[in-house]
Amino acid sequence: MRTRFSLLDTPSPNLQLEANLDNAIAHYFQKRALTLAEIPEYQDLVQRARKIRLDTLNGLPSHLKRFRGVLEGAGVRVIEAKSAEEARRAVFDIAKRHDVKRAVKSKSMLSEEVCLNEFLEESGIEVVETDLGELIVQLAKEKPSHILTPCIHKSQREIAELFSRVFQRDVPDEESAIAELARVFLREKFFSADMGITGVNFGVAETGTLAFVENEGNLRYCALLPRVHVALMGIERIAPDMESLGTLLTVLTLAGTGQRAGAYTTLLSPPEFGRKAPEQDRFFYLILVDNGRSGLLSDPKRRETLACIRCGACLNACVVYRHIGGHAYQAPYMGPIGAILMPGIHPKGTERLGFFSTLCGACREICPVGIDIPGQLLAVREQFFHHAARSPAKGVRYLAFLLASHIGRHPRVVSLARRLVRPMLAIPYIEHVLGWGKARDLPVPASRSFQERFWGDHTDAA
Amino acid sequence: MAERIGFFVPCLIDHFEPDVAIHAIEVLKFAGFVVVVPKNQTCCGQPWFNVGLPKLALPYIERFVDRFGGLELDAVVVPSGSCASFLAKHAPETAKRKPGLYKKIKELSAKIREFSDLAYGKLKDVPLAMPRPTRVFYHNSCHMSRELGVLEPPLALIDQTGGVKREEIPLPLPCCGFGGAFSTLLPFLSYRIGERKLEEIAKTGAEVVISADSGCLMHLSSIAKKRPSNVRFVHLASFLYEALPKP
Ligand code: SF4
Repeated sequence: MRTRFSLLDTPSPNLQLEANLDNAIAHYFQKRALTLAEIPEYQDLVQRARKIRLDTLNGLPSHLKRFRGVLEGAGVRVIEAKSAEEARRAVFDIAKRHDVKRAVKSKSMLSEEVCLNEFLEESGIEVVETDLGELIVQLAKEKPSHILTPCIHKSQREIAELFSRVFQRDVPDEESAIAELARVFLREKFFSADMGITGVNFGVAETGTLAFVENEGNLRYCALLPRVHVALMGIERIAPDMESLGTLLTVLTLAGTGQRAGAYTTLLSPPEFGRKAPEQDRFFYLILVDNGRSGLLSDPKRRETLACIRCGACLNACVVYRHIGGHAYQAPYMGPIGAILMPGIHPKGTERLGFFSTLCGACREICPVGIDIPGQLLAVREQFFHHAARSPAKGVRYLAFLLASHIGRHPRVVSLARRLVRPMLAIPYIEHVLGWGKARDLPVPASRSFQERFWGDHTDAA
Repeated sequence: MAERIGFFVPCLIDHFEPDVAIHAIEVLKFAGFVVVVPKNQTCCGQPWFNVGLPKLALPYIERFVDRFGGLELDAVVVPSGSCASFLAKHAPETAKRKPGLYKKIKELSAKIREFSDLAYGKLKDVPLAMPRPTRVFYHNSCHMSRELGVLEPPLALIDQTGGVKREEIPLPLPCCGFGGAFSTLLPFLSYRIGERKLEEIAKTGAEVVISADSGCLMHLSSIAKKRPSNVRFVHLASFLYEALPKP
């Protein structure tokens, strides 16, 4: 997987990226504030949604069993994928079985998680992203940098330039021109595709209903036009019943985009799908992906992370994300949710994401299901140090903190250390050795501490 | 009967800005408290808790309990929002790792009061005034407002001070980018976040940045030193000390 990771920390900030993120996120906050001003009961909704999610996770196996039971009873093919590899294989096998040459795809972070596009393309199947943001990212040969707004790192001007290059014509820096070009390009793809791939926002255990939210209408095309529809769903995305679905969809769009509802909400319920339509061959498959979720689920301290409904709000609220953007995380999920989810489902090389946070708590405040993201980040940091002995980078950090903790425990040792450090700060370039000072003037410790001044220099062990 | 309060000195104040502690004690005495300063205090242990090594925070919690327990205090005052939030909100959970410690810290935790929160109760009707007109910006500490829920008292204290105009940032980037361990592990990013915060503050025309969190203040002032700027960074305790009615 491409989740290898190195700490991104550079002396020269990316000003264009900062400006693009600022613009988009300021717009988001304005819209959100306007909508929420009309909904005084928003915090109650959040508490309800939180309870629904946590209760669902606590009983997830039985909800899943019920969900599968309803679907399979109606003749729907449900495939379980334990790993990313199994999920990719399952889609590929379906594509082969139905002789698929071209697939159209709506936005799905899960498909990014299992690296579906790369795999299908390598196997000779053309995959076309149909969400405008995803299409832009695909044409630019990049990865999404936000879980809801994949091309948030690009300005409109950069997008117009990209389209001019790709489509070999002069595309003006106008939203309508860009959208029109994408529409024409995609229309042809929709009608000629053999398979549609979508994610799923929620699956309703009681009725087997699949719920999809979107703003562009492309998901409906993906689900309904091609003869084969494959939907990928994380095992945790269950809503017990239609009533709880309503609550979850409401907080999802309010938090995600500041909309009371998505432009299109699609509910597919058995038995409409799954049955062979009489006049032509139409097939539907649901792939339930675990890929490390069971591990998080079985850890009571980490289960809460799975409550996430992927609204993307915590990214917008995060001061770190707003400065470095999504690509810096080098992971399919970025921002605060990426920092707590990735180390849970794919610990190798992603545990350091836990340090991509100042623990300011803005994420917890904005999360529509009230996930204690800072608390989860602390758990990730503990996990990071858990096998400190196995990695030199971790070991060195651990020893530094261990040493510091031994010094700090004894007031006299601290005072001694302070006296030793004071003259050392005069050494030229010393700040380059000390992490903090790389970027700033190191603060000079006082010649006498408060306690020494208050009690006299000889603090005895009173 | 005057309330007896214990004074906890955050390590950054103790070793880098000792005047702040002296000012805080003077303000509290003025407000009518009897201030007890236990000897041989250390850091609260928050850095190790925040970095993911909660076990290394235990000796600090033990010392805190040892220094402040049994003193029959009405409250323990902490002049730094982040340390106060650790002692009040996270120390008990952390202490569960050591048998017997939880009960002792729990009792003390319930008495933790952030400095401005405690002071506001007694100072709200006192005529505070700065010697000369000043434009200030209050930097809100994330831990103090989000975890402790202390947001209004420092603002109210500043606003009631004569001669002071408080400036605000329209769409604030809330966090200053300090984050303790974060600033050591990602120093340039931490610097950049602080730098942009300072740019926003500079636009308001404020000459003084006030905060009730010693970590944020130290971070921001160390960045300001690298830039041409006349802004002063002042702990709320020192600001209030300056504004107290002179005898
Ligand atoms: S963690 Fe919360 S705020 Fe972040 S994406 Fe998930 S639901 Fe949204």
